[in-house]
Amino acid sequence: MKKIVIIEDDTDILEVYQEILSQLKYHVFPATSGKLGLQLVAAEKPDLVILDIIIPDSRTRLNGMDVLRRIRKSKPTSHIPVLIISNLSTQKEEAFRLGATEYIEKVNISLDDFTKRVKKLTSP
Amino acid sequence: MKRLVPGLRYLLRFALITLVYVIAGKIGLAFAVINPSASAIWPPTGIALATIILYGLPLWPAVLTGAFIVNVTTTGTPETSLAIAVGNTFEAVIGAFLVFRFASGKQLFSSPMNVIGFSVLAGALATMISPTIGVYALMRGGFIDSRGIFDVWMTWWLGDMGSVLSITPVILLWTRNHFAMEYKKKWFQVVAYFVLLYVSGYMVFTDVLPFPYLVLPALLWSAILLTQRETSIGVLIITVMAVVATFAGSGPFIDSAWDINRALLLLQLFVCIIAAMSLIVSSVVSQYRDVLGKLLDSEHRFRALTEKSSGAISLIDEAAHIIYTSPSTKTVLGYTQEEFVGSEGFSYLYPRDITKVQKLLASVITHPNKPYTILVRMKHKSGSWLWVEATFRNLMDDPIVRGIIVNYHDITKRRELELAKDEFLMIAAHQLRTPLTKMRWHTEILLAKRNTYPQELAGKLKGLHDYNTYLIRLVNDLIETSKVIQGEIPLTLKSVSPTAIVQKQITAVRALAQERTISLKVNSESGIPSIETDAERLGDIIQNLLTNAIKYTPPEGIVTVSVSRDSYDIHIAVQDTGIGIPKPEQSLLFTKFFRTSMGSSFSPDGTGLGLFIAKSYLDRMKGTIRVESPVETDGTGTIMHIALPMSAKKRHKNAVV
Repeated sequence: MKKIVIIEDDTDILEVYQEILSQLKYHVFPATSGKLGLQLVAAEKPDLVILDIIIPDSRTRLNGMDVLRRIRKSKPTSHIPVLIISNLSTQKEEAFRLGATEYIEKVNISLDDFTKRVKKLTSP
Repeated sequence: MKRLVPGLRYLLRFALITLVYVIAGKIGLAFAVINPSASAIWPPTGIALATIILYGLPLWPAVLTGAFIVNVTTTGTPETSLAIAVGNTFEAVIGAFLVFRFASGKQLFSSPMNVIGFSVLAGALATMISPTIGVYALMRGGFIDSRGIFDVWMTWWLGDMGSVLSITPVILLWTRNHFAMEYKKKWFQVVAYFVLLYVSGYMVFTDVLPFPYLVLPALLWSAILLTQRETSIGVLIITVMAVVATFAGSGPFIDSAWDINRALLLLQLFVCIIAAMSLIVSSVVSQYRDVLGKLLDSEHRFRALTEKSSGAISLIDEAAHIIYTSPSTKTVLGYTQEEFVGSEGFSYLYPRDITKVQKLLASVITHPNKPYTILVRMKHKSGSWLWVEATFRNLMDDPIVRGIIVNYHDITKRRELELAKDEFLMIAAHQLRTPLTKMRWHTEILLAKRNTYPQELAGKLKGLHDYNTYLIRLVNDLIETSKVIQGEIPLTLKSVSPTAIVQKQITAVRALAQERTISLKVNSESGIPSIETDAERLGDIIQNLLTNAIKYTPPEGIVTVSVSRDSYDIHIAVQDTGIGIPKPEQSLLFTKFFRTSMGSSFSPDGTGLGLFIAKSYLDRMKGTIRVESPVETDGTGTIMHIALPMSAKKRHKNAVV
C-alpha cells in the first residue's frame, strides 16, 4: 500500500483528500501543521507528499515553503515527490525553485484530474 | 453713431455743452487782441473736440449752437457768426473723425503713437479748418482787411491748436477711467508736483527767471512719476499762467518792443510744444508701466505656478541633463534648484525604470510637441522612492525654450492606494478560492453518484456545479486582472508551434461545442513556423476566444480557427456564425468588465474580463488583437484576429522604423 502524507490546515479539504485517496487504496497520513507534517514525512518516508502553501502555524512559524525546503534538505526525504496544491498563484516560481515536483492551483482542478496526477506521481 | 441717445440725457448734455462752450468762448475772447474773433487761446475748440470724441457725432448741434451764440454776441452779423460756427463744428467733427480713424479714438492715450497721431492730426491739421472758414467769413463780412489775413489766420490756428493740446486731454483723461492711480499712496508726490509746477511757472512768468524751459522739470516729474491725468492738468495750468502773464505784460514772451503779435506767437508755440511733449512722454511712461505691470502679473502667476504647485517642471536636453527646474522641485523631490540643475536626469530614476525612460525619450526626441506620459520611480533627496507621473514634451524647435519640458508630480499616495486595493482584491480572491474549492469537490463527489439520485436532484446538482464553475472563473479572472493591472505578467518564453497550441485548445473545448451542437473547424496553412512565446498564455487566449465563439453562436453553427502567416507575423483568426457585436460596442470590447448588450442576455455567465486579459497578455507578447464583426450581413458573425510576431526582435526593429 502506497503512503501519502497530506499537509493541509483546512480540515474539510483534508477530509475530501482522505475520502478519495482511501477509496483508491492509499494509506493517508494527514497533518494539519507543518511541524506535524515534517515529523510524519521523516517517520513514514511516504511515496508522495501533498502540501498546501499557506499553513498558518503561529508557534513554529513554518509555512509551506519552509516545509518544502526542509523535506528537500534532509537526505532521507529529499527524493520524495512533493505535489504543491494551493490557492495561491503567486508562489509558483519559488516553489519550483525549491524543488516542488508539481504545482496545482487547487480551485482549478477537478477531483478526476487530481486523482490522475496523484496516480501518475506515485507510479514508479 | 448707432447707439440711440435717450432724449433727456441728450438734451441735458446739449444744454450743458452749449453753456460750457459759451462761457469758455467768452473767456477766450477776453484774450482776443488782433481781432475780436481770433483769440490767442480759444478753449472752446478743445471742449468741442472732446465732446465729439466722448459723446459722438449727435452732439454736433451743441457745438454749432454754442459757437453761434459766442460769435453773434461778439462782433459781426448772424451770417458771419453762422459761418464761423459751422467752421468750428466742422473742425471738431473732422478732428474727432481723424482721432477715431488713426489714433484709436477714446483709447488715444494708451500708446505714444496714438498721442503723436492726435497731436498732429487733431492738433495741427484739423485746426486749420476753423481759421480758414472763419477768416474767409470775416473778410467777406468786411471785419478784417486783406493785409491782416495771415496774422489773424495764424493766431486763430495756433489758438485752436493750443486749445486742443491743452484742454482736450484734460477732459478725455479725467472722464475716462484709465490709468487712474492711488492717491492715498502718492498724495505727497502729487502735492509736491503742483507746488513745484506753480513755483516754476511763477518764476518764469513773473520774470524772476524768465526761461520758459524751467517749467519742464515739473511736467516731466509728473509724466514719469505720476499719470497722464496730472500731466494734462499741469499743462493746462502752465498754459493759463502763460496767457495771463503775457497779457499782463510779463513773462519771457514779452520783449522790449512790446510787440504783442510776436509775443502771442511765441506763447502759442510754447503751449503747443510743452503740451505735445508732456503728453507724449507721459504716454510712453504709462505704456511702459502697463506692459511692465502685465509682465509682472504674468511673472507672478508663473512663479506661483512653479513654486506653489504640487508638481515640478524641468527642462532637459536630449541626454536628460537638467537645464532648468522649477522651485517646486524642492517640494516634490526635495532637491533645490541649484542641486538639480546641471545633474543628470537618469541618476534620479529607479534602476529598473531607466531603460523604460530611455526608450520613451527616444520617441520624445523624434516627435516634437507630442506629449508622452510615463510612470516611474524617482529618488527623493531623503532616499525614499516616489512614484512619479512624468509628462515629456519636446520643445527643441522652440527657439526660446530649446529643450524637453518634463512635468512631473508625486503620485506615490495614489499609487500606494491602487496597490493596496489590488492587494486587497488579490487576498479576497484567494480567500474565496478555498470555499469554492470545497464546493467544487463536494459537488463533484455528489455528481459522481448522480445515477442514484432522482432526476430533479441530479439536475439541481448540475446547476450548482455550473454556478460554482462560473464563480471560480470569475475569481480567477479577477486575480488575473489585478496582476495585469499591477504589471505582473511574467512571460515564460519557449519555442512553440502555434498550430499545436490551437489543436490543444480545440480539444479542450470540444465537449462544450458538442453540448451546444457547434461544429469546430481548423484551417491551418502549411509551414507555420514555431515561435518564441508564452505557450500557456497563448493557450489561455485562444481558449477564451474559442469559448466566446461557441457561447455566442446559436446551435448548429460553425466555429472556424485559421492559422496563417505573412513576412513578420503569425495570424490566428477565430470566426463564428454567431450573433455578432454591434459597431459602437466593438471599441469597448477589450476594456474591463465590458459585456456586449446582446452577449449578456445570450450567455449570462461571462465575466467581462476575458478579452481584457487577452489584450493585456498580447500587449505583453508584442502581439495584437482586433475584432471584425459586420453585424449587418447575416451569418458572418464575429472574427477575432490575433497577430503574433515571429521574432520579437525583428518586430521591434520594424516598429522603430
